[in-house]
Amino acid sequence: MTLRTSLSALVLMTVLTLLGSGLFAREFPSDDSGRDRVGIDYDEIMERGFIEIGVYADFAPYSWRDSSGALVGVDVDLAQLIADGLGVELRVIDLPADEDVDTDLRNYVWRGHYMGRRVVNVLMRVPYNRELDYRNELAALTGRYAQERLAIAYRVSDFPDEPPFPGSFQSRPVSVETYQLADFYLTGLPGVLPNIQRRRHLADAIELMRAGEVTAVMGIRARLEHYLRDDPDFAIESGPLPGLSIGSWPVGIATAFYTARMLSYEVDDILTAAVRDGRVAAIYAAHGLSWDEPQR
Amino acid sequence: MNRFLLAVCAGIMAVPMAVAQVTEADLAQDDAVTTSVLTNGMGRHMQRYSPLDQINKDTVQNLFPAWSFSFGGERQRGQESQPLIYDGVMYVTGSYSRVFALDVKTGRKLWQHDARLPEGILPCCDVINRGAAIYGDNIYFGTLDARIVALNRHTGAVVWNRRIADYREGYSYTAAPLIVNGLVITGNSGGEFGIVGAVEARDAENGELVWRRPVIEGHMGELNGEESTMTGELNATWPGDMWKTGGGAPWLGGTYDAETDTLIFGTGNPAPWNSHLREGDNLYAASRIGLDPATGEIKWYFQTTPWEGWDYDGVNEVIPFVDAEGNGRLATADRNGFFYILDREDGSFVDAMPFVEDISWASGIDETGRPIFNPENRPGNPADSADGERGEVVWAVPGFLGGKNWQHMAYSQRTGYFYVPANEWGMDIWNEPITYRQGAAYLGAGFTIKPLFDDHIGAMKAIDPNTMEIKFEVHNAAPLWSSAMATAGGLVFYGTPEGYIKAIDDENGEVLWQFQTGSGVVGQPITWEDEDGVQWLSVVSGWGGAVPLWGGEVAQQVAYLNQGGSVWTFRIPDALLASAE
Repeated sequence: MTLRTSLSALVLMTVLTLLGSGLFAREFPSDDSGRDRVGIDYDEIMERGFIEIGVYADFAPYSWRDSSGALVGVDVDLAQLIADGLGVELRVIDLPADEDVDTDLRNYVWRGHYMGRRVVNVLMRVPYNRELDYRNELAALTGRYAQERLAIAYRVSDFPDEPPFPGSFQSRPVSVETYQLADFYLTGLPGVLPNIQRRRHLADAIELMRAGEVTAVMGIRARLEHYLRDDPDFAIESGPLPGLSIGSWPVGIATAFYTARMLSYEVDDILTAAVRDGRVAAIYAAHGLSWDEPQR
Repeated sequence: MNRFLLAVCAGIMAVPMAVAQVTEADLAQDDAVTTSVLTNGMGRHMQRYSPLDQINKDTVQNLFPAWSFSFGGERQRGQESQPLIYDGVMYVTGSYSRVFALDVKTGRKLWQHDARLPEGILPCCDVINRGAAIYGDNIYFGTLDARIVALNRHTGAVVWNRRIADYREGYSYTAAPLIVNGLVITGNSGGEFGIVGAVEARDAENGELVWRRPVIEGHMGELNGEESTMTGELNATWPGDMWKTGGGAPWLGGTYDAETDTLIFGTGNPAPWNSHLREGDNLYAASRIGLDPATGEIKWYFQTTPWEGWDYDGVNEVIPFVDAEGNGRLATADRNGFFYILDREDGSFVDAMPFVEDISWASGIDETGRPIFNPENRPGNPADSADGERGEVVWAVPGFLGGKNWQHMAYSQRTGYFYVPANEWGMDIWNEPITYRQGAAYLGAGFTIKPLFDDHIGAMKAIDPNTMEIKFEVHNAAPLWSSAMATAGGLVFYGTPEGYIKAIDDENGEVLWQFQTGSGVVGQPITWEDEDGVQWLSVVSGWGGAVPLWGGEVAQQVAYLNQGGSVWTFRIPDALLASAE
């Protein structure tokens, strides 16, 4: 045994002892659920030959099931890019969103859900923000691959002179997806509430606009593009949003922090390279979507 | 396909045993008949009072376990059920939508039903179940994927299975169903996003919907397959189309007051939680509503928290009683920290008092029953944090889990007091600009719940509804999350998260007996007597529910409590009964 391996064995033993003594208890859930380590790291993924990557269910154009039931979308293609980069088989899993991303990280990245679902190795489309990162210390947020922004889709003939801006909806009807940022933002603007038609799904809001019941739909730009990209009657505007500092945010991936730190570095390298050489932009373009480089 | 086969099997198995059938008359006298427990609340008025007194202040020291039964399985997480007792069998539900039929004398399992829950379900409101209902030859219970199921009580075979609401839209079901005149009456449970509360009645025979009453104004009701009437008046108390996703889930079920032939359901908080988006009273969220059991028409309402903004659901049980002067009254202890007395006939306001300490959101209740708000204590508008700054922290008491949560109070016909399992806690709330949902930014809020006192959160309070005084209180370190039960033996039983089932003196709160069940008790104790006149007591044990899920700092304090899942049944052993005589 070389000095180096015996040293690392000593370190490992020390870590295990600390774990056993409960000194690391802070990183575990606050209830009495089992203190097994959940999730696996890079070496185990390489050894078994496949990676499990989670995407949001029913979330076009990022991840949804087409008419044949196949899981498709930007995030599915990016998941394939990650698996190819690692040289392992991809197993992609669509996951329902919970009430916030913090909960999704707990359910899908570092603890698992109490209905019995296991964690995935990588979760796609996790927004990046320092505060979100800090308060979810059991997840590693990295691999930023795109910049999301709010935008307004509108019927061109309704706004012949200039595109609508948020103040336009003091006099013109607009639709939004319920409980999304656009909903809260517009509802909070003076005089806009009576002109908002809220719908459970963005597709329903788009239908209202196609039917002429509203003049515009506000939401995430790429999602609006997905529904309207081939229709010359509609256009999409992403101008300034007064009073809203969070109209744009980067998205990336998450892995478990303690159990999969090496994996997070590898995936970050793969995505960063793909951002730089244009492969991420190409995937967006293949879906008919515009793409902005993520802010670092 | 196999309905016929199933019916035949059920019939064959039922023949040798089935003589007894639970009738409407049986349910109506459940409070007086001591040999069975047929309803949640030990009577549809939910007084949770037993006239039995073999176990009393003198004899309770002789109370010992007769048997214990483990729900088994890998999944535990919070047992909040109330067992039912009928014809020598105990019917009890467990977490994750399970039902067990047990021999009531020995605890031997007769059958078990595990609902098959859909893949990928994320139930909004934890995985607990608060109990079953019994009628005819069926057991009725609700599932986490928002279905109501009828099981043959002899075999556990499914008789019918109906959807209450779509779980994919955020609905769930956890309450014990209520049976009145052959109708199975249910509320619903739902998450924060986009659900609408409703009370529904189904034919107990086949599960066909008879009527449906959404509890938020603007929605249409249904009766016998056709539209009936609109709930309230469109846009009277809600701006824009916010009523369409107005929340108000009546998730704790309801009471039936036979005296006035009225169903009384409490409704949850209005949605979204950000009250600045829905200025107005937001009827009938955070209210009690009286319903005609035949049609689902609203007879009356009383709103405990108009323009609710603190997550003070108004779901708490309403208990009919007769006061010292012979007046018919209703009592309810709200999540908002106030204990209310209402008129039994029309739900109108009679009196109110705070039952927890240091309430900060309102300085009191005015003579019409409306709260006197402290405007500076309303959580801020998240739109104000669109500038990216974290908002000002508001300290509000009670915390969002309430002065009293779901755990039922009891009314003692012996003392005339209500025994309210209360909690003393508050919450910090602030606007949180950096929140995300499904990959997207979101204007959210941060909450954390904190104790008010160093030595206790839980406080069992005895309230005299005639003088509106707290007669005594018994403190508990952890929050109380178990229902209470009072008996003619001068005892009040309730459980604690620390694992004890306790009996206190109903006049002074002295702890006369306690037993450690091995996991937290957050269930609903019951008592009955067998054919030999022996009094029995049962309670489920198994820590969980909302506190460890959402309890913030409090959750940290109770993190040492172990989960479990079992029924404990007690009696005074024969030898001790004999020596007492």
